[in-house]
Amino acid sequence: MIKMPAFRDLYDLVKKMMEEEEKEFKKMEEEIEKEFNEPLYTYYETDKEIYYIVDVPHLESQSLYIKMENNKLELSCKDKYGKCYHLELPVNNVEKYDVDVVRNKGFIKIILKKKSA
Amino acid sequence: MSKLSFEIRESYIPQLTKPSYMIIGLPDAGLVGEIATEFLIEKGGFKEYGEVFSKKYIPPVMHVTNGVAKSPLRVYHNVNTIILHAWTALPASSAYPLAEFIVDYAKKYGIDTIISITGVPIPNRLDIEKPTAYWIASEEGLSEELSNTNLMQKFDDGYIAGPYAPILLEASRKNVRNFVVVVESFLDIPDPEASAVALDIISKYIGFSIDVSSLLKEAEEIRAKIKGLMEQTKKELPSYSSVRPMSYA
Repeated sequence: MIKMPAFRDLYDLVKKMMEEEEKEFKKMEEEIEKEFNEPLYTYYETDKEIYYIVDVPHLESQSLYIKMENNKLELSCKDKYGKCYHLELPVNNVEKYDVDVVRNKGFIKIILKKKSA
Repeated sequence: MSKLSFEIRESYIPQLTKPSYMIIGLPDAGLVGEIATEFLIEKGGFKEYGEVFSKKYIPPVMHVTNGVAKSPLRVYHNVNTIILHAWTALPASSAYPLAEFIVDYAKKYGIDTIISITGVPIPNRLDIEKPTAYWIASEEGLSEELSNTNLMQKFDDGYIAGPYAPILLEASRKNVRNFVVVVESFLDIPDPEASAVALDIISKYIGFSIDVSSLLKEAEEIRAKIKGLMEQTKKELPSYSSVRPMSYA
C-alpha cells in the first residue's frame, strides 16, 4: 500500500511501489520460514517456575542447543532426518533455566526458575 | 439459511444395523478427536461414501487423496457407525451451522448416539503416563447409562467450548443422544496417546475391537505428520480451548 499519494516523477512512483512489494514478499517469506522451522510448543507456569514443552518428533538430542540472553531463550536442534528447528521465546524475570529431554518421545522440557520477588 | 450452509453428496446410502453410532472427528485441543477418527478410518475398515460441501464454512482447501481432490470434510461408515472427519481446520464461525447439520444428518439416519472426542488441556500432561478420560452427556438418561459403564469418569463441573459444544446443545434440543469423550491432553501439541485412550473406550462402548498399540508406537511419526494441521487449527480457532474444569477456568 503506497502511503504518499502523489509523485512528481513516474520513476519515483514505480520505485516506491516496487519497494513496498518487496517488503511484503520479505515479510511473507519470513512468516513461511518461521512456520516451517518453528517447532510446536506449549507452556504452563506455577508460582516459582515456567515450563515450556517443545515438540520435536525424532529429536537428535546431541544437536540440541539452548542459550538465554537479553530476555530471550533461543533453542535450535535437528531431527534424525536432518531437519533444523529454531525457536525463540521471550523470558522475563527468570533467574536460571533447566532442560530435560524426554528420550524416545521427542519432547524437550524447559524449566525456567522465576526470580524471587 | 443454515439449512443451506452445508450440503452432502453421497455415493450411496449406507445400511446401518442397530444400535447405530456417529463419531465426530474435528480439529481442536491436541487434535485428539481428529487423530482418533483418522486412525479408525485407516485401521477400522471404514468406507468413504460421501463429501460435505460448504462455500461459506469450509476453507478453499481440497484434500488430495490418491491423486483425487476431495472435500476436506467427509463421511465414512462400517456396519453400524458413521464417522464424520475433517481433514482441515474449520473456522470458529462454522461451529453452530455444522452442529445443526450433524444432528440433522444423524436424525436422518436414525443414529442412536453421536459420539464426539476431544481433549482437556492439563498443565502436567507430559508427566502423565496414561491420561484420564471423562464424559459429558447431552441428557440425563445417557448420563446414567455412561455412569454404569465404568469406562470413564464423569466430567463434573466446568465448561466446554469449541466445535463440540454446539453439537451437545443441538443434540439436546433435538432429542438425539450425544456424549463427548474428553481425555487429558496437550492443548497446542498433537496428542496420539490421548486419542488411543479415547479409542479404547469407544471400542468397548460400541463393542468392536481395535488395536491402538500402533498409535502409541508411531506417536512421533503422527505428531510430525500432523504438525501443519495443529498450526492451522491454532490460527483458525483461536478460542478453541475446548474444555475447562471449574478449578482453573
